[in-house]
Amino acid sequence: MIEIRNVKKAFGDHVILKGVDVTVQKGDVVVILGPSGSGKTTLLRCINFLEKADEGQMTIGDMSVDFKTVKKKEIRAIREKSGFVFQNYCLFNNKTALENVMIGLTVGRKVPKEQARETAMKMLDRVGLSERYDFYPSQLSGGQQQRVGIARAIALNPDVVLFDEPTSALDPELIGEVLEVMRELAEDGITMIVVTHEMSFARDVANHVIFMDGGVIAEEGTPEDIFDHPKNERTKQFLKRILREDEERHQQA
Amino acid sequence: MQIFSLKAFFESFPVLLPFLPFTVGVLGCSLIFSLSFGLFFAWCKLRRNRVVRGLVGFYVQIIQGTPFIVLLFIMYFGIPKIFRVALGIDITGVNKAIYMVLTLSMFGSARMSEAMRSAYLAISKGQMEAAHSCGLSTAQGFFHIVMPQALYIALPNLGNLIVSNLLETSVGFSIGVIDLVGNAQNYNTRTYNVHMLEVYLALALIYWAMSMLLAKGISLGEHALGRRQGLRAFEKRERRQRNV
Amino acid sequence: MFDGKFALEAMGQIITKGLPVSALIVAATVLISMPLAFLLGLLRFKRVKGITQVSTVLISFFRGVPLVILIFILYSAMPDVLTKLGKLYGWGIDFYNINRIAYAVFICCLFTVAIMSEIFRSALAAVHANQLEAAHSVGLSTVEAYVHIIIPQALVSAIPNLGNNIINLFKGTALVFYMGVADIMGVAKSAAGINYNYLEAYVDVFLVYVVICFVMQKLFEHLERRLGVYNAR
Repeated sequence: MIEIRNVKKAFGDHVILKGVDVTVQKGDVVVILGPSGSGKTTLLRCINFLEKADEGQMTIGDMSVDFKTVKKKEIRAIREKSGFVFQNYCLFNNKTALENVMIGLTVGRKVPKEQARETAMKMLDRVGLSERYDFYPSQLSGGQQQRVGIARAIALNPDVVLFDEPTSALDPELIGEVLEVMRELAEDGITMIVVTHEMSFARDVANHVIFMDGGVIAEEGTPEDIFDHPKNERTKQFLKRILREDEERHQQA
Repeated sequence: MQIFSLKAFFESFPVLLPFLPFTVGVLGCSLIFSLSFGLFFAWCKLRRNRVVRGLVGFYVQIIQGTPFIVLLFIMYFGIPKIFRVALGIDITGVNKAIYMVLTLSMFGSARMSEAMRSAYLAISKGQMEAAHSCGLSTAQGFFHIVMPQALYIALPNLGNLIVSNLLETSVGFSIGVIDLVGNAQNYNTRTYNVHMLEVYLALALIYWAMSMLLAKGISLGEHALGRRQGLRAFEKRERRQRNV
Repeated sequence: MFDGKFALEAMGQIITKGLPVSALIVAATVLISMPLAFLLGLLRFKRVKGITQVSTVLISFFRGVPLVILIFILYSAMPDVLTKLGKLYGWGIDFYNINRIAYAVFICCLFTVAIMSEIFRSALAAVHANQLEAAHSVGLSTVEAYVHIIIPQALVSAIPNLGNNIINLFKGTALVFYMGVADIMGVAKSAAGINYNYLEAYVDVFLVYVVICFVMQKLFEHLERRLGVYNAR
């Protein structure tokens, strides 16, 4: 269970997050939508401290912190409870796929090598890449790299997995394999917070959709609420534009 | 006796500095040859003719594999011998600086040709193809599109090589060239090596100042070229902030 | 015109007596300077206050002054200076009789640390910023990230530049004969002085350097390929 209250974040003069509250239950699949600049990626990055929020409180599992006074130890503990999947995969270039997945366990948590190896192979198997375990990132396609990225994120058995536009950097024909893996994770009951433009995913897999605009949550609800009965004017505009682009893209692919 | 006399240090500058123009002159002369032959060798190495490529490649490889001073000595001892044995001419009276300019030119041209060649190769083929498709001839495409970009890429490396050439001039004294260092050695001998340290430190400072000036000049050149090519990094700060 | 017999004899002497000395100087310099240069490069990369500014000046100095002058400053002045300091502070060392090779290694180290630290610094800067973020996201501390991810990648990307530098160092040691060191040049010069066979001697030296530089180049290319295997594409 994750609860975030009143998160505020500014970069210099630009205020990106103006007080955001989010509640996520175990097993939820939350999709965050919104135009660029709305703060959705920043919100995600604040959750596992890739950005340091200026204000706000967060409770994750049995830990509570205040963003202003959080300590290094607490940050590290929370990072172990949350997995992060990057838009640009960010795999460790000098490690094989297997080593990428293992390193959080062996170095971060001092898990013995054999045990880590077993866990890592299971994770790779889950994303369908157990045959490429000894390939380096430069030898894998974008979609494969991202799937390794997902395996790496879930290897630590986190309470929640955060996805930052996981398919935005992929060629259209590779998006499907990554979304498929994400779908399976959701079905297995993994708690996920996903920032994405993939409407089909949001509609089919999510059980809660948040629309962000201008640093605040403009509207939120179930996928049916948001897609079929949007109340906010901005939400309606955004959906119209995105659904049109989505259609064009799927026609090309 | 003191370790270091500030007075002697300052007094050495008026003795040393008059020979600065000579060193600069030697460097300048050799640069003209280095740059032009460097360009020529780079062109040769890009030809399809394997013999030409091989010959130039071999030349560049052996020049780059030798310390400068060794090359200088070979020129200094070898060329008079060739003249004497093959042509019967005695050239021992010739100004020693000629050997310096010759060797520097060989040394510099080999290394600069590599810098120029790799800069050229870094420009994608698409640039020339686009130029052709706009109706430009190969020569026009080269002069207006490819060369300016290649020059910009090559400039930092060429700058380093020019500074390196400047530093190599300092061994001229070993064949009797009376430049900055040569004169300093004479001065030391005249004064019985009493203030060697001060003189050498003064020399160091002079060379340091020259190389910093050269480096600054090159970086100004980079900025000027960069701005002319509209490279974002060189846009004025205010303009950049407005775009945010 | 060209005394081939002398050239061959001298070559034998150069290779057996001079080459080991040059090799020793290069090896000692590399062994001592590399870790120091890496440390300095790391400190400069992290912009540690104080060290960065001072080292910038020093690096500019060692890059902007000819090696021959550095050698003169050091060798003509240092025994003098050190002896006087020694008298002042009561050190018992006779600085004039210290093996000249030690002086050669010392000056080469100063020079090399200055240049190599810049190579390490820019190699560290070239590792993508997202590697550190990704490391944090799986729970690694900053130190662990540097040790396992960032530094290994920086070191591999630095190999070509380091290789070039070591080859340049080898060529640079040709000047230590001014200190009286009996390296490749030193041995050649002494041998030539007997009958003034300077041309032959220096052609020998030239051949030695060309061949060894070529071999070193091939070795470094091989090393680059083997260690950078994760860069395969």
